[in-house]
Amino acid sequence: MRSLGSGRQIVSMTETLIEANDVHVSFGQTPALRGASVTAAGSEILAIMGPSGSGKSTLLHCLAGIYPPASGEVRYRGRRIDQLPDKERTKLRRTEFGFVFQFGQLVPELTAADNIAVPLLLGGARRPAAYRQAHAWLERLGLPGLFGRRTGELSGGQAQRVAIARALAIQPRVLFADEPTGALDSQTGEQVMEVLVGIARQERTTVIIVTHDARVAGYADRTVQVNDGLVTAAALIGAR
Amino acid sequence: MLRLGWQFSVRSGREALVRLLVTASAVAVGVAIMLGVVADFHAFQVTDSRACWECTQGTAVTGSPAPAKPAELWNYADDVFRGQTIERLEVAALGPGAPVPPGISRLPRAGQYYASPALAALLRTVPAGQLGDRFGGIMAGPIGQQALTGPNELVIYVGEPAAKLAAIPSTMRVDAIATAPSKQVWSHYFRDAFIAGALAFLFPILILIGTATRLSAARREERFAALRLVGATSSQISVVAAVDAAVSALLGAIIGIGLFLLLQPALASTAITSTRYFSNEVTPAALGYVAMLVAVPAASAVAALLSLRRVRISPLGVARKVTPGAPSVWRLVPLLAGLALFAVGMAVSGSKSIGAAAYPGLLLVMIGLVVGGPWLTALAARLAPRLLGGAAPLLAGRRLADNPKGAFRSIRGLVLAVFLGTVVAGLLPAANATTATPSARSLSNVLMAQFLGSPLCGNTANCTGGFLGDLNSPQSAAEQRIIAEGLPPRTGATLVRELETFRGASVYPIYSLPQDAHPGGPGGAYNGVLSCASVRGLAVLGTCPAGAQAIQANTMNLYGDNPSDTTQKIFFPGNPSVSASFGGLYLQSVLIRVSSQATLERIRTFLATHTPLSASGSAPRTFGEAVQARVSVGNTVQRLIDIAVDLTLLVAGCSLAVAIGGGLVERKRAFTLLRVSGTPSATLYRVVLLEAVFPLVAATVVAAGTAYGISVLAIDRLASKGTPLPVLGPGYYLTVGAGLLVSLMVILVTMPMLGRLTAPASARFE
Repeated sequence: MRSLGSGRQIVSMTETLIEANDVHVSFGQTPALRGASVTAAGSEILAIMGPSGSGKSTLLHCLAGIYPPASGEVRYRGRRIDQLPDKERTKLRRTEFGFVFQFGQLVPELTAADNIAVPLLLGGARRPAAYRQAHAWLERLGLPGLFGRRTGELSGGQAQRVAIARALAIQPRVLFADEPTGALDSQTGEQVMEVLVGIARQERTTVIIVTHDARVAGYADRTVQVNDGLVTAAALIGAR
Repeated sequence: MLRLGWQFSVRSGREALVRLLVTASAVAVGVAIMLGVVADFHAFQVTDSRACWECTQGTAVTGSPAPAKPAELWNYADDVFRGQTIERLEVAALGPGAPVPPGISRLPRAGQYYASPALAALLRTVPAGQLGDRFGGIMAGPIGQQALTGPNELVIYVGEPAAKLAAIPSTMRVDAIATAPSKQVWSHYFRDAFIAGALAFLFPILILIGTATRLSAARREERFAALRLVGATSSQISVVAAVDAAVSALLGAIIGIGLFLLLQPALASTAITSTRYFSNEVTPAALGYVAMLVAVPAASAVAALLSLRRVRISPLGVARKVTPGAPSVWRLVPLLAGLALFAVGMAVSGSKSIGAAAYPGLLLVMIGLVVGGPWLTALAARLAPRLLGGAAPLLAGRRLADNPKGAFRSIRGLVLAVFLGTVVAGLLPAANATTATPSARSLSNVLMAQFLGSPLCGNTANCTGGFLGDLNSPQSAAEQRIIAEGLPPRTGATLVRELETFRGASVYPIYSLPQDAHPGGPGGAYNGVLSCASVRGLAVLGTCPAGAQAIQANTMNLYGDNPSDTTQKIFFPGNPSVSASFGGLYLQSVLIRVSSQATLERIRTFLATHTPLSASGSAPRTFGEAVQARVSVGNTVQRLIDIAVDLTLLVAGCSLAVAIGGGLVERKRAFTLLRVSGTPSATLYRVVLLEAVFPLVAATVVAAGTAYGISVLAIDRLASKGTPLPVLGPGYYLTVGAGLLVSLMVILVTMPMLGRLTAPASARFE
């Protein structure tokens, strides 16, 4: 483990940053995960693949502390997070984790800058600093003209890039992405993945991507397969 | 978070702006109505607490020592003109510094008078023989607001020579004018009714605010989930939701205050409680405005927080919605208990009193309707699809069955309004019928002027005025005899003779039997005597024995204030007959049948100026006017209830519109998908219509039926035998029927919105 100049510690790619062990989740009588286990190392880009209904999104949500599993454990930096109270898990999402989903994660009534600034403000940043950062992130993602635009008025690709900016603005250790290109055409999807992976590598952020698209999985260092609630296969893929 | 809440409310695009405006408009209607109620209550309170100068008491003039303090002669009496009471005060200063009644700067001199603006206007337009001649003299100026209860009140202060006033038996010596508020017999009822009415309004208005606050709740819950995803805590979400709701409500409160100020002149010119108030008094106190600006946003914020309590918002959306369980049949218990309690109260009621259990019973019935409404809604939701068949009733029934409480919430104001409207519409005509008996109607054009000592009443129903005989100084023997028997023989004979000269008037004098002939006095079996010729002219009051010239009778019943009692028979063939020689008898009263309103007022004017010795405080009035005075109390209650019903219907209609509009926006996706999959838009229209109609019809039928049953039971127990069952008149159908019709129209108005919202072209399937 080493430290960046900002004081943020980076976990090396050989050390486990986040892991799920023998996780079980059911929705009513329907089992979603039946003893799934997976690990992700620091700065690693991990793809979780599987058919619809296999439990891959549920696994992502468990890793992010959104769903506490019925049994099994989820550890982040060695600490169990599945037993943390909601308040602590909320704090983790505010300070350590970022999220990019297929849709719905932005507030359409707020501007692009607002959406990026909100998590910073929630983290205690002062308003001018939060908006300066929001502006910087929009420029970095090639969206400088969208500062005051409401996200409900943006195209799908623009909205996903704003979502990436919002997710990365808090400099998370782990970025969770659930079908980040699912609502985009292939060309826009590739552009979005280029941006996401490129910045994650620059920032040495661990990325866990749920996808059923092999092209998206191709951006990952490693891919695991989920079938019927179990992680059934893993394969190392070389980084692009 | 505060800033974010503000931003959600006002700077979040068109949809948020529409939501803000709809919510604010709904709240504004509620606030304006609430301010109207508070303003009228304020006016009522100010008027009710006005110093009662009419209640001034003094000492008898005869035998009083010379005044130690500045004093005046004071003679107060009521008069009547076209059914309206005129308060007449005749005064004469007994030296400098005599106390001045309110509303004027100095006492009128002899030959001068001060009149209230409304009376001054009448004096200018009505022929003097019918009104102005009662007072004489010239007008010195108007009486100010301090002395009046409202701009329509008829009051006059007449200056008289001290010697003339001192000769009138009812004149007092006064050195201090009363400043305490009056004790009106209806004050408590009206105050209680106002408070109950204001509280009753509060519920539908809170429902309206709550419904408006929950507008697009599902959409907002998605936004809150997005905030939860990036780390906002539940309490931070609560702050955002509360600020969002409070901002809309604050805007609504401000618009509502503006709306009220616009409508205030119209409200001030309306005689809601039968008396018009001064417009500057028809206003809430400053605290009322402040309360609206603080309490309404606070209530709105609380409503938003309560609605958030029902859902648990996770970062992925609404994780858990607390779906209310199906209402159980136990919800009918308060309604049935209320009906039972009311029936018990009625069982021990008679024509003169109502059993104490009836009041809580009635209240419990109203609560029971609100509590039992969801069960009725669920029942309607189960039965209607079976009875009607087809897709629309099935879809509507399913949704209602899913949340009958929510479905009933927006119409419970309507149900209460229908209940109250039906009870009043059933009871009041019957109550009025008991006053306007056939006897009272046949005597409606008969003026009754009596000269015995009696309370000051004017034509006030339920008179509680003080007796002239209550003066705590001894009267002379002559005055005591006037109080007990009426006008002295010579004065009485002259008066009768002069009255008989009026064209269009038939005069029936009643004489007092001498006290010494009746040791029991007026309380004895017979206290009056009149000719059988007169009895034939007043046939509804009884008949003479065959061949008799005159008949003795107990006439005291004639002088009450309830026409159903005063028009009972008092002459019976078994009464002692006497000769028609009335010389030496005091004139107790005179009944005069008049042919026209002008004759009536001319005779009243004549009586006002030719009966100075009368000890009566009651102004001459016809039996028709006495009936009208009673009926007007009932009409005032009816008017208040009608206003309450109309306003409740308005508020409930707004709630319904907001709830339906909000429901359409929430279910846009589901409806669009139904349309895309081939459901005709007409079917969707029927679904929305039926969702409102099922609970509305079920609850309305039960409310109206219950209310009608209560009216029938009350009339059966309280009204005299033979009173017909209540028939709901056109006013009822106009008020309640039109209100329900407007509610249905409101629903129909949302149909184009449904058509636009669910157009397949606007479908989004993500």
